[in-house]
Amino acid sequence: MDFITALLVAALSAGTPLLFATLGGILSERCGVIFLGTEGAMLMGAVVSIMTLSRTGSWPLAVVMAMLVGAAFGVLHGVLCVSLKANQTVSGMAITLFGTGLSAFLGKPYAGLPVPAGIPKLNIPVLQDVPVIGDLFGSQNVLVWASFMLVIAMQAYIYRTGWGLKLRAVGDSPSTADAMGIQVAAVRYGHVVAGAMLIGLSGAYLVLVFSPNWMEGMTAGRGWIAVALVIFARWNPVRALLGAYLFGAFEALGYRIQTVTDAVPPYFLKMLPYLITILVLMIIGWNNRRKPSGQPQSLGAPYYREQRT
Amino acid sequence: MSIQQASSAGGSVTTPVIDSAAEYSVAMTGIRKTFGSTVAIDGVDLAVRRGEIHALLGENGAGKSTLMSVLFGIYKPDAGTVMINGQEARIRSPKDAAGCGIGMVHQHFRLVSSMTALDNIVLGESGGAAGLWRGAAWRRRKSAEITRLCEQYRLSVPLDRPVWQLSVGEQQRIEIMKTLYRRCSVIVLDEPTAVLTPQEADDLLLTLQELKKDGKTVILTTHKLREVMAACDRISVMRKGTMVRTVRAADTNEQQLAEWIMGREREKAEQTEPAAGRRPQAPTGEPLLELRGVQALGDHGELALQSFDLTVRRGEIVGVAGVAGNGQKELAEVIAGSRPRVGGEIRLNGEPIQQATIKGMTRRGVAHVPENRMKTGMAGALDVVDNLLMKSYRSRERSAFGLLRKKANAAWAQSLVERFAVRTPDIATPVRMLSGGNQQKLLFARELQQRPLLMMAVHPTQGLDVGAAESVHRLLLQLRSEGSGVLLISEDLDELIKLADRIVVAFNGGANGEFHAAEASRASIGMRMTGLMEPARTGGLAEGPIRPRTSEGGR
Repeated sequence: MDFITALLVAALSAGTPLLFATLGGILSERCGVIFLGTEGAMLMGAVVSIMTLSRTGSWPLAVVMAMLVGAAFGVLHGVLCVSLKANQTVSGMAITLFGTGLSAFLGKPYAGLPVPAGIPKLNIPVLQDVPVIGDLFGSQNVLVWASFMLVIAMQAYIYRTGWGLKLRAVGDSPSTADAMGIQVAAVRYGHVVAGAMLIGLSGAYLVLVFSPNWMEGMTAGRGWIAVALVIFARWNPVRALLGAYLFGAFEALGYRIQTVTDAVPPYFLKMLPYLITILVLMIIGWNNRRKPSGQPQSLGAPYYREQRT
Repeated sequence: MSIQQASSAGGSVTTPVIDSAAEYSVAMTGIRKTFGSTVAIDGVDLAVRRGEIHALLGENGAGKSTLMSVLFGIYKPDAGTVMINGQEARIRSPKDAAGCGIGMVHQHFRLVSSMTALDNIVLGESGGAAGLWRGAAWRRRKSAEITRLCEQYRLSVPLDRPVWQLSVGEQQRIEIMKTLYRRCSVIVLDEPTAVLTPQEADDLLLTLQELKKDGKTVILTTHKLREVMAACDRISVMRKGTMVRTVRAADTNEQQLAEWIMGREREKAEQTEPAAGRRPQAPTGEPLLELRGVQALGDHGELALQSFDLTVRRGEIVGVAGVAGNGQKELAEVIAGSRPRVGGEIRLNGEPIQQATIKGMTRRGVAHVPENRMKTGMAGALDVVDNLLMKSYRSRERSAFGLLRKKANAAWAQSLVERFAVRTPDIATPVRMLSGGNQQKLLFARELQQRPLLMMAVHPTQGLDVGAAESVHRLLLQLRSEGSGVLLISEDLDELIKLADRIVVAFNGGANGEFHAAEASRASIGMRMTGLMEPARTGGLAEGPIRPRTSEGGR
């Protein structure tokens, strides 16, 4: 494998957790609820899946448990932000801090232990022998394939189904949706919980596939990058895919450069993805300064039916 | 805020007697709704016959919208019952209302602006498993179905464009289509003509007749007498949260309706009419504000102001008329300094302004009463003193070494509150708690403290009752007599005709004609407002229908 192919493979691998978390964020924000608890929910998903796997040895169960713990955080966020109409930013930050702390506590006995048996890869006979594509897709992890499917499914869901129409309406104008008989709170709960489940799943991928052992704070800011990617993707699943792999590539590039030369300090390389995040946000802000951002217009605003305008 | 018992000058209060319940498609009895300590409506009865056009008439704040919001399930009433087609209905949400066949066209449209008209119309439709997938075939089918419906009621609606690109009239037709598509039998329109041009309003009234012909029941809230007399079968008049009476349109006239709407206050208002009438001669003061070919971009990057010319002299009131969205907002913001100008020149007092900033314009003596007083005019949660201080806190009298002079400021605020007759419990009350009229007086108090050369007032009486509007008018007239210039941007033609020395009509981002007070009439201004007549060809009326204005110009 030459440098470029190796980089692409690594980008795919590093981009997948970002992709899951970004898709989760899109689901939540599309209905008008900002989810900043991504980092915490990812860590909780990771620690719960490693606990489940080392106790039961069943990876599907580990993945399901990660999604369930994500869902629990989604319900928490929903109760706070939809029912109690709390500030969404504060609630999200609290979830991140809580998840970070709790995962560190729960994960202590598992720190550094190797993951027993990972998630199987899907070997595709003919594809494996095609040069670059074979390296990329010939023997790829089941969860990576699941993420591809998810992008297609979500794109169709948001733009091609009646449910997606309701979702967009609730995110843009809850009062309109309400007047049309759509249950705003139910739609918001559903999508926040579903989004948080995907974020939990991204945590599971991180610990079961990407770097197969538990470390405290192992997400290393990936949750925050996913939050930025939601905006980068302008709330669109296909653009989320591109964004996630782009950032995955930068992350991988950092590691690759270290193997080639030590002229660049490793701390700088570790900083690279975050620096890129800031740069990308600046560029997007500049490019879209005259355009509507695609942001759901009621994002961050709780809905009160009787509020007088 | 107290509720004045409805007792009109001529006779006792009559409530509609419900003889045979089934005759009425909507019957509301004893409806009461409070917001905090404010009683919005109390003991209101309303009965609407099946298949009639029923007007709900009243001033701003009379409780018409509140009553309709109760009917539509947006507000939960504190007391009262609602009967639909003779059966008691429990309407707890808009969904319940839709289930009862009630559709509502809100004053502020309930449309998702990023979606197409089609998506807005089918929104909320639960198609079951078959209607879940919405591909190209589904869109074609729905599009055909809605087009058929449009033709049936003679409504023209572009289905495939996003709503934000459509004119207000088109958006309203989408709202009506929404109710028709859902086969609502009762259609409520809340202040439907408030945002329309005179021509569009006429079209709407024709549409309502079509709906009636089809057996729909139409309820229409408005404060415009003309429309009511022209289009409605029966009329219910509300005042200050109570129902005054319900009459057949044929049995009454505009004069009588006006008395019921206003109650006794009408006489009072007329007595206090400012003596300072319009001055007979054309003002000769030197030019204060001059705009030449001013251009500015709108919110979506389109050229919202296209070469606007305007002059305001000392000691005159210049009115800017026009249907909302023809550049008035941008005009005000450019002059105030909050929106960058991309072309043309502005002179203030003869001095060219390079790039206006809000602070710079304030220092030069431009006072601004903005369109939305609680959004850009005042901070609702702050108290009276803080809001009064917002423009003058830097001055010597108000602060020393960066610290506010608390005692002196309190005394100053108290004196202003008294001088401008602002009704407030005390000066430590958050301005959010004041009524709209008192907020506006407070805003004027602050702006007039600057001894402005030029006062720019945007929709200064919107949402105010008669008395408060009169106070605002008096303040503007007083400014004129003191030699300041006043630029009055308003959608209320009557207000403009009453106050302004000259009226400039804004249309499509430019000045489309100018009238002196003596020659101004509703009809002639109305024609300029709709672009039916343009200055270049004043020979006769342009033929053909009005082209709806769209906001996609510069994209």
